[in-house]
Amino acid sequence: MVVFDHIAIGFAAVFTAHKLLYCFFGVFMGMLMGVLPGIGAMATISMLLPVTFYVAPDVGLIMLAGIYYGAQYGGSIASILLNLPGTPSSAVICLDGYPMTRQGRAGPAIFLTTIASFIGSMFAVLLLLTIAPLAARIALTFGAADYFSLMILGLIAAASLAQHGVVRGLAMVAVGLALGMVGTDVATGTYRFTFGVLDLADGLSIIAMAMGLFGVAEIISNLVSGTHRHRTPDRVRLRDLVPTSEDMRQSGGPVVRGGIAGAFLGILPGTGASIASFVAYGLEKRISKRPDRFGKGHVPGIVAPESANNAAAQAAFIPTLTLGIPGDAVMALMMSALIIHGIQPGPAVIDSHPDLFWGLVASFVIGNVLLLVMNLPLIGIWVRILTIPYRLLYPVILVLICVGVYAVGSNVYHVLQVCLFGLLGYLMMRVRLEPAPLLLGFVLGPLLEDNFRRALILSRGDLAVFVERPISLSLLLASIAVIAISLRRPAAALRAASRSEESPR
Amino acid sequence: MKAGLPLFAFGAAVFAASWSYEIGELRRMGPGYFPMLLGAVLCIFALLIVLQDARDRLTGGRRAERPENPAVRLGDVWRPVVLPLAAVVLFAALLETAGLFPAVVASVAVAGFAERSNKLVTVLVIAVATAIFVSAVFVYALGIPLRLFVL
Repeated sequence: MVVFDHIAIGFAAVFTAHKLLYCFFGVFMGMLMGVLPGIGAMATISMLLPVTFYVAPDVGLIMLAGIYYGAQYGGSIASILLNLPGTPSSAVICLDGYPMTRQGRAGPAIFLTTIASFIGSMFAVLLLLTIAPLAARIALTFGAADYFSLMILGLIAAASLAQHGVVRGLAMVAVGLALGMVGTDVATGTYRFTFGVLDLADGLSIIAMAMGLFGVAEIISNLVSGTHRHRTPDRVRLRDLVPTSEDMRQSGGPVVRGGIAGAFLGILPGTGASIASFVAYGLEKRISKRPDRFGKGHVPGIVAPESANNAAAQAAFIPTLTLGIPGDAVMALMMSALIIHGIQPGPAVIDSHPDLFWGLVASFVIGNVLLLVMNLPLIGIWVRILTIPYRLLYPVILVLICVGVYAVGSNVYHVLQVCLFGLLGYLMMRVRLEPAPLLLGFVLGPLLEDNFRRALILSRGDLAVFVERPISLSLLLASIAVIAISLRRPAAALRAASRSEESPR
Repeated sequence: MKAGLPLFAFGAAVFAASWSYEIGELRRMGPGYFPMLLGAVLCIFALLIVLQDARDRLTGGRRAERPENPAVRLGDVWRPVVLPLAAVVLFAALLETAGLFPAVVASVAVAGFAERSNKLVTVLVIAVATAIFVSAVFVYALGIPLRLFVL
């Protein structure tokens, strides 16, 4: 079985003290930052990106991945204890997690979400082992037109799941694509939209953009709304964690369904962990015999989304690494981190860097075991971290963002971009425009243009090339279907339906 | 209106600017071709958003969500908006002219006052502590070539 070869390659690659250490460091930092509301995987990855420059690319990738899925574990703790999501993907955990806390059942809630996270992750690992090589093989047959259509599908999927409707999402994708044009045009070498600023010749900095739009804008928004004040979690001790047998029995089905749903949503380009958790919650509520119990501390309402968001966070590496198309904003950042390291994600990665790919998969297994071991016994520490007031944390986070952005590019100009994108991100928030589709568009912009141009050069300017190739045609049809569905049944309605009267924020 | 019009202006600007580059033709696109398409598409989306928002306001219906905090006007909130952004600019300005240590102290301090309940002493303590931490981690541990103090 070739799968076992891959497992063997992976574990052989990952069992070095160096990699295990960075894996531990990544999941620990991810967990820590995930626990703290207002700092997600995105900010943590940006802050720690400079660290990866001093290690080999595969070690760096293991660490960055660890941050992402570690944050999924940590995120639910703040959701459960404070009704404040630690990461966007754990927002939905608030719905049933916080009511459990008010019923004095915070301990079992944390225990169950931890186990659910672990099982969900394992679904993603299975999928990585089986589907990733297959996806890469299919992707090798893709021509420029197929790639173009695949990216269109990914961007449209991301836009259609935007919180405030598909049109707003599409507009943000277009803004992102336009910002992606800034810099040197690859095909002709022309400087575009640089306004004579030499620092813009290499384009805008994606790290600066991500940190401005997500990190700084989030800080400003938290300060303006003052939601961070007067929150102190209850104490949770180790022996409070044990769930009842009834809890365990109720969790089985939802965890499995959530894991499967999350893993498959993670594979789709354009959908990430946040979407997966909402979908899993909606699914459980729909198939439940007692939908009225959701929102009142119902166990399936926390374990299904938690299993789903972990599965999605790890399955998201499949499109990112094998197709070169990131599923969500975090993956977009991850992809550019790889490019900085000189690895161009695409179908060739598995064959040309088997150690890196299978080592990463093996590190998922190890990282998740570490998280499982670390999460529960250290629960007292995580709760205590939540008592650090936000007013003391945010100035430090802000400055760490600046240092991180500077360290990546060694360019003060990038720090100024953080300020610009921070302001833009806050203004966008106020008019209900989301940053995630923008970032995705920004990353895919140059690739999209390049493949568009190449497809049309090959077809001598005949646009029919996009509908004549069967792969391209089916991807475009899928895109149209996604738009049609989302216009009839907006994602906002889906989210609103899964939300109780009390908004999680 | 608030979302649609700026987006339309941006799209129109992209569209207009793309004409200053060579447009080319479909079989051999110049650097201006794709931005031109994009600008046009963005204008269309922006108009759709304007229409949607107008409809939502007219019907006042279920889809018109209220803004996250209706009581807040931009004029009342200069502190939490301007100070964090000023801190970032200050960091950029001081980093290579005064050094990492003063840059961190200054920007943590400025950012700290964005929250009204923070006291001067607390902010200064955090500022110095962060500067020591950042210097230790980034300069001594990671070896990022930055000078702590530029004299």
